[in-house]
Amino acid sequence: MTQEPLLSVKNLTVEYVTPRGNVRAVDNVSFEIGRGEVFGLAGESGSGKSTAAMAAMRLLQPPAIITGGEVLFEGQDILAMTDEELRFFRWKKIALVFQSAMNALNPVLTVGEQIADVLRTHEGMAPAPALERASELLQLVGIEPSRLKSFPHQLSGGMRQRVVIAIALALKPPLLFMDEPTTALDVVVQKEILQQIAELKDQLGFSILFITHDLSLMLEFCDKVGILYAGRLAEIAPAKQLFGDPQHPYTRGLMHSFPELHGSRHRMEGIPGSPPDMRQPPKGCRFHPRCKEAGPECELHLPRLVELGANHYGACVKVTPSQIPKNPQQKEYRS
Amino acid sequence: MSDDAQDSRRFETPLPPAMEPDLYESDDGDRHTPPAVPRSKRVGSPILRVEGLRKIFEVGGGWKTQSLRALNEISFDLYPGEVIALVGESGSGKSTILKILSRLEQPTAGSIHFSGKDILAKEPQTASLGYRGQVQMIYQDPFGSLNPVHNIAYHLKRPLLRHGQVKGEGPELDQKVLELLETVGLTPAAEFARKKPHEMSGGQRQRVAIARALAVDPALILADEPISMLDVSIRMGILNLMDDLKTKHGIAYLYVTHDIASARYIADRTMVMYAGHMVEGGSSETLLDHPAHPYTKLLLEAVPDPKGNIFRALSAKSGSPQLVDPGPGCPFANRCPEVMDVCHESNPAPVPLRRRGDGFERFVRCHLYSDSAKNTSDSLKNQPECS
Repeated sequence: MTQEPLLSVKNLTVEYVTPRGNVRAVDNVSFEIGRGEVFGLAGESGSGKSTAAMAAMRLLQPPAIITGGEVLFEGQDILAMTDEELRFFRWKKIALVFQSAMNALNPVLTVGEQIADVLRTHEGMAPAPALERASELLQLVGIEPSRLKSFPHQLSGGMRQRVVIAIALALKPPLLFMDEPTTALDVVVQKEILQQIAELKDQLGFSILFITHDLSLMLEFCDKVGILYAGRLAEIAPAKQLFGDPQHPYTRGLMHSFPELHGSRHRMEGIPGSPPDMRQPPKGCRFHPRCKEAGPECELHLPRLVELGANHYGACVKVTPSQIPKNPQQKEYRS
Repeated sequence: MSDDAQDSRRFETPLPPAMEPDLYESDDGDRHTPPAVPRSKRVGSPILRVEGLRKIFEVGGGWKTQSLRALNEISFDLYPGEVIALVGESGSGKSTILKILSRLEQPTAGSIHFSGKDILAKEPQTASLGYRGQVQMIYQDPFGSLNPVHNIAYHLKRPLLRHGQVKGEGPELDQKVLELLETVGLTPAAEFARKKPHEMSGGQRQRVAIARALAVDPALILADEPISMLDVSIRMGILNLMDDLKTKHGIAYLYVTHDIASARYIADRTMVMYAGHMVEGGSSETLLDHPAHPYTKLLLEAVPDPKGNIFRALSAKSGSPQLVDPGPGCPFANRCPEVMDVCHESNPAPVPLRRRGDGFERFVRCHLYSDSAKNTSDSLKNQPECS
């Protein structure tokens, strides 16, 4: 991508302050999201995918603190903004869709009031035009405008999630942050909502930072995917390439962790062991205790993210032993 | 469904065409993958026979109670060492079947034969200790199913003592606890026995839950979404453990899931549920490669597929079935892309489909395949090809 990225996260590091010392949940994570691009962060629970994204939006509260890195949105440093600047920045520039639509909506207000609320607060719209715009937004996400007067409990789970998306799109933000937006829904509803989002994205041209633990879903939906393990990026590549040619042993293990729908049935092993305790992460490569290909050098130092191919970066000593740059600046990550 | 009774009408209707024949048919020979895992051979008589199971929940209070039909005429056999997967959307009744079989809910009608005994007739109110010793559950949430104040050994000692596997505390009991932990791959066992649940990961806790179920030496395990809350990388470990226990101990499983690919992986047969009906069933491979019911096709189209295209349209709309006061027709009629007049008039009866030599019954509840729809073979030919 030649143009300037919409969001650029560089060497982001987030630590949780605990009585027994700091836990580094996100460690030197860098990625970029282009305009109109869907970028996915995948990883297991505790891998830091939500923390990284929340930090990039400056939504973290203590005990989580950002200890390093920078987050540039259209060239503007989000981490340096004042609270007042942030208040106007959020939702106008980056809107959020969370997993649980039931908790995201206020049960005692109608759907229309909740959509209009955003417009009135940020755009200063009068009640009547705001409601009119709310009805347009509902139609945009495939809900009849007559539902404006419905309360959240009168809607199905899928419709509630559509309302949340309508609220997120109310101010036409260039970036949408979706944290497991369809995890609580049935597969058919999930597919419909993702199709709707993909269509709206093509129509309105926003970018998406998408978070899920469902790798199949991520590979199908995203343009580019970053795989996080224990707070560090293990691999980052275009989705199709990641699926066709995974390089990092962890990514390859993940690809053997979900059974296929077609073809002959054969035993799949998954990945032995369990994700590390982040209070005492393993020395060297975080993945080496579970890695089949690990050698003695893996315990020595943290592998850096190096270029493996076009737009394809991996952090593993075994994959490109000769390519590890002496000076980390030489092969700085760029998408 | 006994084999003899059905043989005469089993071969009437041909199977629908495979979903994506070109892409996948030749997979067996070409790939450098480990040999396919053979399906278990069916032996003896069914351990579990469910017939005409129905459950109606009374909902709403006061003057207006309504009948919610959670399960309608559910019938199936489960053989020792066999795994049946129940798949379907939330509210389709798959967990209700497990609750009835674990005797947490009473069915409105129907019969359950376990090891040939009519359980509901013999133990109408609560399940006997004998039944509970034979039928065990694994729950979805390994964080909620273990008691946080007790160590792992306590969780395993309780069923061992309660069910008389071991008489009283002593070295024999401790030994049995260690054996169980080793069986489920928690080694060093002595260390794990001393741990509390919060010191373990989700996958390890789910292994404890499986060990607890194994403690009483059950013949049937009811598994309610056992891997859905676990991390992707450790799911296969749990499924493989369940599979090994099946082979080694001849345990039968009823596996409830919404993850169709995992159903195909572990289950010999898969039953698709919709609105409390079993709409289609058969061997997992045949069912998923040749889905017959429009709802099964819809489900398969919706499953996330890295090779897929997000824009590929679904064949049917989403929507929810009417569970309270359903009409006389098929519950899927309001969403079905191939709906016919007859679909609104009567609910189809199960139609046997031609089997492909895998020895498992294949049935579908859909008018497209029933005799009442005169143009059965035409409608089959005209089905849109999925590409």
